[in-house]
Amino acid sequence: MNNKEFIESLSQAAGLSLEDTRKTTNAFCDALVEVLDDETALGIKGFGTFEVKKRLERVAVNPSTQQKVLVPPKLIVKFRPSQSLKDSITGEQ
Amino acid sequence: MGKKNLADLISVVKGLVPEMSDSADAFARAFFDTILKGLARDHYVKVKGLGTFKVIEVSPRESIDVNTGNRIEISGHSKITFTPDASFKDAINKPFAHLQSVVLNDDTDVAQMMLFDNAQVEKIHDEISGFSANAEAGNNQAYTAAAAERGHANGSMDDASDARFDLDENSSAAVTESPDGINGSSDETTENNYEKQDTDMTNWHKQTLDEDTLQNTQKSEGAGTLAKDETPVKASKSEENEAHSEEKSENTAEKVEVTSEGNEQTQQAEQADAVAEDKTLEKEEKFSEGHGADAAKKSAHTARGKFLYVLAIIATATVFFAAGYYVAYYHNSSERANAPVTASSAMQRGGENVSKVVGKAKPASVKPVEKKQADVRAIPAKTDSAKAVKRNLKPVMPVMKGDAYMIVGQKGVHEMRSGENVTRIAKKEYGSKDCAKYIIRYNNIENADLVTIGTKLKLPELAPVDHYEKQ
Repeated sequence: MNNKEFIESLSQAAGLSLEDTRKTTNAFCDALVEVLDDETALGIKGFGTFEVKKRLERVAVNPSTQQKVLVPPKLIVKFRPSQSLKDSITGEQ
Repeated sequence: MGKKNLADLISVVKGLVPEMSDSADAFARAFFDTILKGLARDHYVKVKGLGTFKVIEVSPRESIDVNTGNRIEISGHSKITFTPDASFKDAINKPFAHLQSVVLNDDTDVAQMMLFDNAQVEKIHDEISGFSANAEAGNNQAYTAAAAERGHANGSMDDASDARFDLDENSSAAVTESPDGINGSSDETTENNYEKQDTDMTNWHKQTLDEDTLQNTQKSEGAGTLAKDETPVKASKSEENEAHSEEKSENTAEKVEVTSEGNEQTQQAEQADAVAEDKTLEKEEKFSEGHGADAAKKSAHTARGKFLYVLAIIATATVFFAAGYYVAYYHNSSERANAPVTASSAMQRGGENVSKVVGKAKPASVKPVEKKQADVRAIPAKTDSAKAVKRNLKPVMPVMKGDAYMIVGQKGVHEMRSGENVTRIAKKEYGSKDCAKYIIRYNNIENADLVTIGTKLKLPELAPVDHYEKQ
């Protein structure tokens, strides 16, 4: 289901026009970013949790040039599906 | 770690898109349901601006039961994965967005590097959000500069300087300064740090670099430079040093035997040493008297001074030994280098080496004797040998293709000692490492790397091969 199909499906489910659903989806994603930060996770019942994790800095080596590089720390978002989501997927199989 | 739920998300959405307020709830629910449906149907959902949800099949694999240690099979199953897309990733990483990878110089000691731990990352995080007004470029430079500093500086820290940091009143200030240094220092200085690796940034960095220069100069020069090195270190500290060094000279007249080169400043260092040793117990009193910084600097300074003094002594001793050895080696090798030149000169030398001279060279003219004293160390010129050797020598062992020399006899024996190898002996005896192969051949050594201690190597007599009459 690519993005186009998703928007179509969503617009049907939400009862909005395509254009509106697109705009709202964007707003949704921005809201998601705003809610999530290093200390806050977002849990959606029946779906899963989005959490932000820190990746500490480390020394990486370029395998071809053998040059050492210091990779800075960064934040990463992870998704943990809830049990019901997992079940609904495996139930399909 | 706080956890928000859908309601919180919806409220934020309402804030962003006020016109959708009433349908926001339904929209949110529909959003996640659609993803669920799409995942169930196609095992793949892509949402632009968020990411991709996929269902992945995991094949069964063997594993170990953690409790019993028995073999266990983890059955195949499917799992749901989420990969954020680029815009979402960047948006999440916004607090650290300005940081970029830094290429480390080869000399950075990775093991010694102080990689940020969790607490420090949080601290940076907080400071960054506070300093968000700063130019992004400045922040990144500061980070890269700090990274370069950490890699370089920590590799050169020594125990004495650590001691100083512990004792030095400034140290606490310096440590708290460094995070500021990451963010707040001026662009010029951080650029300088990164490019040239000479520092002006904070006292902490300055002191560390002085350590570095001190280490290097100590090793190459003698104790005389101790004074010179001490000066910049002293200069970098506060003015209190001058006051307390005067103090020292009063106190230690009777305690110290000055054995240094009579340099005033090395005297002070030594006096400081003595003072430190005698007064370590009194240190605490000094602190309370308000001379805290003084005493700390004094004892730390002298601990380091003592170390440097010892280092200077060692350096001078090494220099003398090296010089002496070099002179002896030079003298010896100038004699030995002549060995392959002529067999006749070997005859001339007579009993210098135990030898079985096979060569039938006639007692030569004065020339070879003079040659012995000459400054010939490298593989000698062939012209001289031509006159003396021509048609007089026959090789004892067959000459291989590509040989520059032929083995015409034996000139001595060498017993292998610990740490020696055939190549080194060749260089010593013949002036060239290439002659090792002749030694190996003459002694029928199978593996030159495995010649044991105590092995007596027969040293072949070598003569250049040009003049060999090919039969």
